[in-house]
Amino acid sequence: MDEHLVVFRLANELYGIDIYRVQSIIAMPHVTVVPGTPRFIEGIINLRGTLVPVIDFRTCFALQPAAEGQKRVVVIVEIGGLQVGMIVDQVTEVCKLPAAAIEPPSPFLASIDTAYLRGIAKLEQSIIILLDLDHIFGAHERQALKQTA
Amino acid sequence: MDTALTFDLAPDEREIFLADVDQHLRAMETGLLGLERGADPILIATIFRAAHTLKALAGMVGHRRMADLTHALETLFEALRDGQVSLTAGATDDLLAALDTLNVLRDEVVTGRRSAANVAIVRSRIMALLMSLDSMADAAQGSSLLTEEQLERERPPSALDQQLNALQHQPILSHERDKMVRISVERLDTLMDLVGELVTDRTRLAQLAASLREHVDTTERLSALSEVTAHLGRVVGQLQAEVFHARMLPIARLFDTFPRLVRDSARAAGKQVEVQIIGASTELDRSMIEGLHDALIHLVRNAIDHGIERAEERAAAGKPGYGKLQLAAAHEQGQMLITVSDDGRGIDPRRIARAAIARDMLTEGEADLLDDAALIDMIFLPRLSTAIHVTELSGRGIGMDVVRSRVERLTGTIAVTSQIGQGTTFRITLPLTLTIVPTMLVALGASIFALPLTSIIDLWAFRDQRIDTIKGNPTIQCQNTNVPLLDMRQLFAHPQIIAAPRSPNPAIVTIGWGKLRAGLVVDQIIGQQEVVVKLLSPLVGSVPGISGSATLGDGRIALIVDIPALLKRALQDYL
Repeated sequence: MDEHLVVFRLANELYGIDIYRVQSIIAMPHVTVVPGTPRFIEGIINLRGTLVPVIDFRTCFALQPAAEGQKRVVVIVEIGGLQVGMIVDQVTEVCKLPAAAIEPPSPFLASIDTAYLRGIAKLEQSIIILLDLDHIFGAHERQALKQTA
Repeated sequence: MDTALTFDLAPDEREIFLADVDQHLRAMETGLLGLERGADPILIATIFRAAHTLKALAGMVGHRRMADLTHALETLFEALRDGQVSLTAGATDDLLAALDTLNVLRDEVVTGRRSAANVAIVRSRIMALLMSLDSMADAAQGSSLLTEEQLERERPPSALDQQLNALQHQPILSHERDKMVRISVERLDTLMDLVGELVTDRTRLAQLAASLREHVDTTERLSALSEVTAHLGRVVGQLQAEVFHARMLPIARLFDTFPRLVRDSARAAGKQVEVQIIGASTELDRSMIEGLHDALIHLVRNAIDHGIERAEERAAAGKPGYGKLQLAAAHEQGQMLITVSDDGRGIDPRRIARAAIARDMLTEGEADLLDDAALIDMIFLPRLSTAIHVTELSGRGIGMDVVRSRVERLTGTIAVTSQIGQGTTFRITLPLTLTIVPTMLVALGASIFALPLTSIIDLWAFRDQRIDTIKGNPTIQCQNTNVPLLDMRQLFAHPQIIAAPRSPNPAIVTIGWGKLRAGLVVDQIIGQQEVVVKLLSPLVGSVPGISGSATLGDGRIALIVDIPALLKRALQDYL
């Protein structure tokens, strides 16, 4: 089975998510902050009349905040039946990979929580880190969400 | 054993099937409870028809167990229909248990799995009832089903037979019912969302037309635009009202569950209680109906367990043996008023005072200063309501504070009045809808907050108010008392809000909820606007002090402030 991926860039790394989970990709809109929410929730946006929470993946992966004025985009995905906007630096491509090109995550890859790593795809020039959206909220985030709820 | 079940039912037919089943089960339950009060051939006929239709429905989708059980019920009611009978409490218990089982079987259609319900046992109880009925008809004695006097009665007169006949031969589709269509809640919600967007666009169009008028000389085209805008505004307004009404349900949906609950709780408590329901057709937004259910259950249970006395005690006090519990609903001044009242022993203010003193919530001196109403009002305090329950009553552990918080979550209020020996009345006041709220928009830096108008007392320019300090805390005058002045930036301490430059010309909004008052310092008052409430995504969770969000005419988002929660949190230090 081939994997259909939307690939995006975050700092210097490439990440891939299942294309069927992506509903749309939009330019960074105005984000309304919501006081009292966990830090990884950036705020909410108005997506054609629907209010959708957005999450900064840099905050999620404990990366440096984006530089002031840097152009970024929001990938609207569906997680657990809910719409969520993921703020990423740039969507680079949509691609199809043979399943054979994907390796399970290496235990040495400690920079992100392996719970939401589905695997690593090695290409000629680069590697793509495959994310499992259903496990994107790690124990830490789930705890934070529980506290606000 | 294989527990998976399949039914002959298309996915889109399921909701309608379930709604039909619910309707018939409810009709049977109401009828049974009515029969317990006295024989009524029309009620029996109604129950019989409900059982008959339900059997057909169950058979149609291939739900064997449901069809079997309803068949037994139908047979019993058919037998009952031939005599003028009323049911004993024991027989009613068996029949209600059968309805409970049918409810479990109904849920099998949802889960697709066979439940643990033991239909054979329930069915055998029904058959036993049927046999006792038959043997009575033969021997006319030793009945558990019929009382002696009812047996002595003759068969219903022929006029009644005709009436029954007429009922049975009613056309399935009456003229009234043909005019109705079923619509799913999801579709209704989508319609409401769309109308919400239209409302937003209407506001935006009106704003655009106004600003065009300011900048351009009046021309013919511009006045045509104004005309169209005004017309669109009216149409959208009407559409909004219609869709809003489509979402309303009669409160009977909620009240209908209570006769059964009252009967079961009263029987468990060894008391005799009669329910009276008033205003069951009063309409309320469906979201409110769900939210109210728990609060009403608490109130009704409390009234039965702690309010209404046992028959002996009532007789000694010169009251009728049957306690009266009344659930009433009415529209009053654009609001919904729901009352739950009993004619029980009432709440003794001195007992509350003693409990409060025991818990160090009042000194004896303070208790003497409070009047009875103020003392009774204290049952809504968290620690006190449980204190009274544990020390003096049965200790169920459900506090009145929970009831109050449920009502407040629906932005309603609850008040209590009580007379010793006469009874207790709870009055719940609610807005008719939570979907569209008139608000005052205020700005904090770049963020916009919507304050519901119902909680706003006054608006002031900051420089026009004198600020006094009491115990180091700033206060202002509001309705002749000093109330705390709160900085809204600090209440919603989000880094981006704190970092925004302060306005050179801030304003103060005085707000109130119940007896709580406060002044809020905001950067700017934007103006009044009706907003369509949207809940925050479950992913964001519930945020303290914010009840929802709304899109404004220009596409920006306003956060709707939960004034009761905000006041309670902010004023903790002052109370």
